[in-house]
Amino acid sequence: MSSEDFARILALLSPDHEEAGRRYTRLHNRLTGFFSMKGISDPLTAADETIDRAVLKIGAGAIVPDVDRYCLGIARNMAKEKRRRAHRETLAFHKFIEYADDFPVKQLERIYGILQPCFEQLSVEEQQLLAAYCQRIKGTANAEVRRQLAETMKMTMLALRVKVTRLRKKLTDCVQKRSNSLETASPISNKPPIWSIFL
Amino acid sequence: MNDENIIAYLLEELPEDDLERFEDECFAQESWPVEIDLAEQELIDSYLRDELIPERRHRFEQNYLTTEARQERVSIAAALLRRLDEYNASSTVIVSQPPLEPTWTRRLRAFWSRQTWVLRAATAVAVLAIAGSLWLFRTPSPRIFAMLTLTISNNNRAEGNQSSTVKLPPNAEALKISLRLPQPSLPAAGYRVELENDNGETKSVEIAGKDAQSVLVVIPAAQLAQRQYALKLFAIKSDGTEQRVNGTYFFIVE
Repeated sequence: MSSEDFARILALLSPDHEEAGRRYTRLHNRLTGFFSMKGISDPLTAADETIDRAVLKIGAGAIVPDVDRYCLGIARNMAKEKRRRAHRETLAFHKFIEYADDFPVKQLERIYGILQPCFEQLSVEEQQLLAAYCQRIKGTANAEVRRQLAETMKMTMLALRVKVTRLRKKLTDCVQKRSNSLETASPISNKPPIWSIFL
Repeated sequence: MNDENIIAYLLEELPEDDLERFEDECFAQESWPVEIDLAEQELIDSYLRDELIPERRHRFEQNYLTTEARQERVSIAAALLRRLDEYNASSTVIVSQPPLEPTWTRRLRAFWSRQTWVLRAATAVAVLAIAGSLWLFRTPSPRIFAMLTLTISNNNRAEGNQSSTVKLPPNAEALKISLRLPQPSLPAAGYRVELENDNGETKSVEIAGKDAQSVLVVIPAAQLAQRQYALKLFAIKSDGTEQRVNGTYFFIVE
């Protein structure tokens, strides 16, 4: 996006430069959340791309009374396109699994191996919290255990859930970072997945 | 916006209009709602723990697991749950804990290979590892349980049935009761158990696990006095409705 394009979209968001910057950040964050919810890989880039497309259309003369809604419309279309593509990849992936039956377990064992040091990096309290929250108990008993856990930690249930989700996000980021730094092919790495030969 | 609504969205159970309305609602908020990540994480855990009803499990596989990013989320969650199961297993003393590894392997293989999923899930359901009713968060000492196994009785107390008796040791934290299911058992996605004392007062009881033959419940010792109790079992069907299992489990605390 050129600086003129960026200035154009900021002007549409608000005449006040500072307020426009705040709204831009808010728009970008929500677009990122939207793509993440849709299961799109690299939601940050997808959010950038959405705004780029909006800017192009506005530059080409599109009348846009509400930039947020306009961008959401573009994002919906992009998500559909990306999911159609992803669906084709999923079919190829399953075809590959049929071809190499023990691949999934090997792959997941590998992820497990990568996760281990990430888990060890957490503090003992964080490890204990995750283990307590995610222990294998079914149904309503599980809810009761978590309620008591929140009570013990003097937190609301929502605060406890947010804390656990953030810890898991931290672990996921660590796994992705470590995985990408390894040379072997993997669906987590940025290289084309091995099963793409079936596409 | 609540968990159920978010899960219905993720599994594409909502009609097209509601789906768009849900997205509009999310987008209208000042920041992207954190509840979505929370509910999604718990949905993934429920799938891996085999806790979804069959219809939802099917929709999870057909409608949710459609992108590489989501497959990656599930595989990382699977690795983490395995790690946490091992962590829990090494931190507490558990009576008759089944081995973890074969279950995990089956679950993962099943997860990645849709064609064989149903068969493997059917056997995976039988395995449950219970690390106690409540994690002793700051005191990782082993928990002490009293154990009891009960079979269902079609009599009532007035008819003078023979109740099992249990004496709780002073240091027991809880009573674990294995309720043997009448065979053939009702098809059930889950169970609910009610504890009734001889004054007719009832309360829900924590279910710690189940398999094809039994349901395991844990009752904190603090909730039990020296008196007679009855446990009533309800089968929860896949559509969410309940059916009382005929008969009652009786026991006496001495």
